[in-house]
Amino acid sequence: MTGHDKRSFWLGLAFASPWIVGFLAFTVFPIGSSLYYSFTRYDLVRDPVWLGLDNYVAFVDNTDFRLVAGNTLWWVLISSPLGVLSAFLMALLLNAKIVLRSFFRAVFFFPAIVPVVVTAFVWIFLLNVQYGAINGSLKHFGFQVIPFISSPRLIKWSLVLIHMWSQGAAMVIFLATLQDVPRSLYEAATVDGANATRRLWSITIPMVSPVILFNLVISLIGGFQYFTLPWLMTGGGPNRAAEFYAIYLYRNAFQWFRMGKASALAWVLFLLILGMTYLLFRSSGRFVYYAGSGR
Amino acid sequence: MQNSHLTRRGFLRVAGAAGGLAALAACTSAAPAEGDAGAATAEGVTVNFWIFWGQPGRISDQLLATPELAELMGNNTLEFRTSVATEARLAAIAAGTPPDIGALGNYLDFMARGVVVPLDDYVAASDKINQEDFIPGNWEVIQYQGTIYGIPAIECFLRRGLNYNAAMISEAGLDPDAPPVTWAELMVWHEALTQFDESGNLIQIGIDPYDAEGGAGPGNDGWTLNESWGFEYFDEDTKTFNLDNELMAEGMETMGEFIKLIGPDNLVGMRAVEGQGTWGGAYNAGIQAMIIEGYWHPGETFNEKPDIAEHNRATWCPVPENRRGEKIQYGGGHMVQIFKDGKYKDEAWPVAEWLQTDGWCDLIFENIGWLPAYKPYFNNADTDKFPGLQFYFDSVNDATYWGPLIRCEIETFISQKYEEARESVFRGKATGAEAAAAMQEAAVAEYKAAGFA
Amino acid sequence: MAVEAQFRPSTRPRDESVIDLVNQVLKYLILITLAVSFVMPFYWMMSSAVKDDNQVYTVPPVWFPNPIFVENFWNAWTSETFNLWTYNTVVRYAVPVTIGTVLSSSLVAYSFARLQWKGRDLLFGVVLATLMIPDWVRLVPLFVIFKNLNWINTFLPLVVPAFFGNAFFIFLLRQFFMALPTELSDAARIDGANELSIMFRIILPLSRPALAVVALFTFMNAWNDYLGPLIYMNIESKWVLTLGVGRLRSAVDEIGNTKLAYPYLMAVSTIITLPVFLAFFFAQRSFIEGISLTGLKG
Repeated sequence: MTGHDKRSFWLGLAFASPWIVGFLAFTVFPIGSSLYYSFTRYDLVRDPVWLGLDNYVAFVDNTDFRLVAGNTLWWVLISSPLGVLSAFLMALLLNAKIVLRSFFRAVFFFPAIVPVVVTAFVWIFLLNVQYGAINGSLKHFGFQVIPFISSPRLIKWSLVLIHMWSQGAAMVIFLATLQDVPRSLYEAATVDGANATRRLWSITIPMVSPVILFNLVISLIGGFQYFTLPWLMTGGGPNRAAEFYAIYLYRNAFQWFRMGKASALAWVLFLLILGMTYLLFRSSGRFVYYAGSGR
Repeated sequence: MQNSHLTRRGFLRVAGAAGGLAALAACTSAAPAEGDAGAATAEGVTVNFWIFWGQPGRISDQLLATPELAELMGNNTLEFRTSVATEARLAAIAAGTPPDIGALGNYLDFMARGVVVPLDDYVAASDKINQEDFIPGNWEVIQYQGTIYGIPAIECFLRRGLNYNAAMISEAGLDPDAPPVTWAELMVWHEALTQFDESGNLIQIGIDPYDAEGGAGPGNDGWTLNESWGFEYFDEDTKTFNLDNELMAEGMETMGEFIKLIGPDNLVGMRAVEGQGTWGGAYNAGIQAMIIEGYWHPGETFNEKPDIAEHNRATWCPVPENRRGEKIQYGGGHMVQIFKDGKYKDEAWPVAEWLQTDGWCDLIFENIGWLPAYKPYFNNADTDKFPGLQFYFDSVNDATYWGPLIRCEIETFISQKYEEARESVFRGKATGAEAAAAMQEAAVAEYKAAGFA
Repeated sequence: MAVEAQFRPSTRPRDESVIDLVNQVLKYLILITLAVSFVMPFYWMMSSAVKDDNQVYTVPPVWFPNPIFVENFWNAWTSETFNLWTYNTVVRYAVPVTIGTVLSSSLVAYSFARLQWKGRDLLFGVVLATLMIPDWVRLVPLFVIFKNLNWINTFLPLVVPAFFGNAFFIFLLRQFFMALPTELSDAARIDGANELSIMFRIILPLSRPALAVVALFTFMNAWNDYLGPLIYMNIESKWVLTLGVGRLRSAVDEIGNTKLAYPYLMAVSTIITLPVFLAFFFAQRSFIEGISLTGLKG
């Protein structure tokens, strides 16, 4: 390196140093110790006891682990695509020529930024099987109530519903992309006699496909870590149908103080997320269209 | 070091008490404290006292204004926290920031894991806390491996009784003077009282057998199912579990039938998951006719919903047919414990004494309906203050089977597994036998994993 | 669809314009239905906040409470120490975190966007890669670390990490800084200005919109945060609003439909949603642009 290179290297590093220090202190070191804890039994009170791979091996035929992993895979596989679909459809609606667009955009977006505690407490009341606004009305008109929250068959779907309701952020990203699609493309297609559906499939979707992938990845990473809403609403019930991975991890760490087992759970979660993201990127070649030269 | 300190202070207290003058005792115990921690004591310290219940929070101003507290605490002040949620209290303990003294549930967990300090020396030195002043069962529950780790307080006394709303019973054409004694008889009442509207929506339920004390177990409140069927889930001497047995299976199936009749989804909706109030909420709302509850139920209902309470009656908890006539009862109850990681131990101890005084107990009994285990107080209590309360006082002598106190270090874990197991039974996901076998397996594995086996 | 309308040929058979009209009606019908169902939960929250116990658990549900109990807002707010919790949320948590995040993230983003140095892009790749790490992997060890530092029940575990940059916002700001013309800094460099003053005097003032986005999002994340305070704050005097509302929820569990438990829960929920609503109302563009920026240019 020349003197100038050296100088700019140190300067660049100096500016980046907050992040580097933070990365070492709050990411590298914790992750390292997490890996260590994951090979131990550690309850915060007594010293860690080395167990080797025991924590991991125990997951293999553990019914609790299978249950929460199953719930979480269900959640990721169902809620991510449906959430992205919901965001895409809302954006499509808003992209049409409509009056009061910014009003509708605000209405669709707002649920995304409401405190999760509020979302949880309002929805649980709204969907209450006996007295919620919906079931209260059903009862009043002589219909059978729907146990949105209290049925293990429905709870996850109710959470999907709430998830689809709070997709404002993804929607805004879609909307911005839709507005960037060159109009000339639609013009040409219309001249060629393509109808609206055809234009949607052969222009709109390919053009926004990178954003679909982006939103899917974000939603997948978030989905694996889904915690606050189900935790606040039912604590994982009924019949453990909403006991997701992160809830089980939280319980192990902060209710039962099995820090070792919780760390092992966290590492498995990490690997699951990496694996799923990798698969998604691998398969994305088939449906994602990158226009022109990229950047 | 902590221990020697404690003993020395304890000794001084004994010396003071031996002087025979309460005033002198107060002086003597205050004097060394000044020498100990000079400035802090001169100004007084703040003792943190936490409980997990919410109700006392509503009268905390009155409680803190009782003259006995001022007398016992001297210069020190009390910070009283109520409604401490499970996460918060466990996190506080894990983080090494517990209160100085508290009633936070998980009592045995704390004892077995060394989270709370032994109190034998304090008890020996105290002129207010004496074993013979407490109900024996409550004195037993505060000990682990022969050492005292808590003082019975706040909410003690008897935990088993079938309470029912006589008005609803009569309305359904049943005779409130001939209550059911077996589960089968209870089912007859349950069927008559559980009602749906034309579109099949639930209007009223007879009983949710797992509501409140019916669902309790295992822990300091015993285990209702075990006691009703008459077996012990854990042997402390051999450290073996006895969960995978036909009584456990039969119990979960029998109690599960009640919920199948209501519809599990309807029931959960009525209960905790959706905020109809956890313990006894549906009973107090007048949509549940019966409930298995402790002695506090008459008083709590009286204070929450007086119009429901006036119809409240109590009788024995149901048993299976082959135990017909067995009158089951359970002592148990709560306690305050002093935490190892708390800042002030000696300063916190007077709180345990305060909780036995008339000032505290009167307010709690009047406004909430709870009783201590302290005989000098409850021997003078109005046994007929709330409709149904008399039954519990009478049952002290009439009971034929007292639920055993079982100390299992992982009882909190088993309690959670029990909730999961019974839900899988009443939802038809598993038979009683399958659920019982799964519990046994999980319990054995956890006992080993937690390092107690 | 918008495009279709604009480029519609002027000569069209009549039945097509009928279809068009039907499409228009259908479109607004869907929009309005959706909008109503999106707003409904908020309406339910606000209307339940002003009910009394007799109007809460009813069939049919009460949509228009009468009489209205406006005093619930005040009574609910004063039933617990919500003033203290607001102070904690804003002054002890959200504001320091916002200051820390904005400062540190712009510094780091500046390095990645406007300084040339060896290893820069590699390190930026690492920054992006950390976005993939689930928080749960760090949660347990961080708890142990902060416990050993005696930081439990202080705001340090929540605030201190904010001063070391946030990968997501570093990314966002980098995108924004990169879009600013390099001539600006080159001119300043020739005049002998150092990088720090270029950043503070030239780049940051030009980046106000992006900084506003970072500040807004950070503040909102802190305002809405539940898990962090849940783990680190276990005495009430250190609670934040989200934990405080949880207290009202436990009251509902405990006493059911008595003593205005539910209206109080809804009243405080309404109150803590209000600042979010106002922030959104006045800074809608920042929200939308911030999200589009990060989502799109990646």
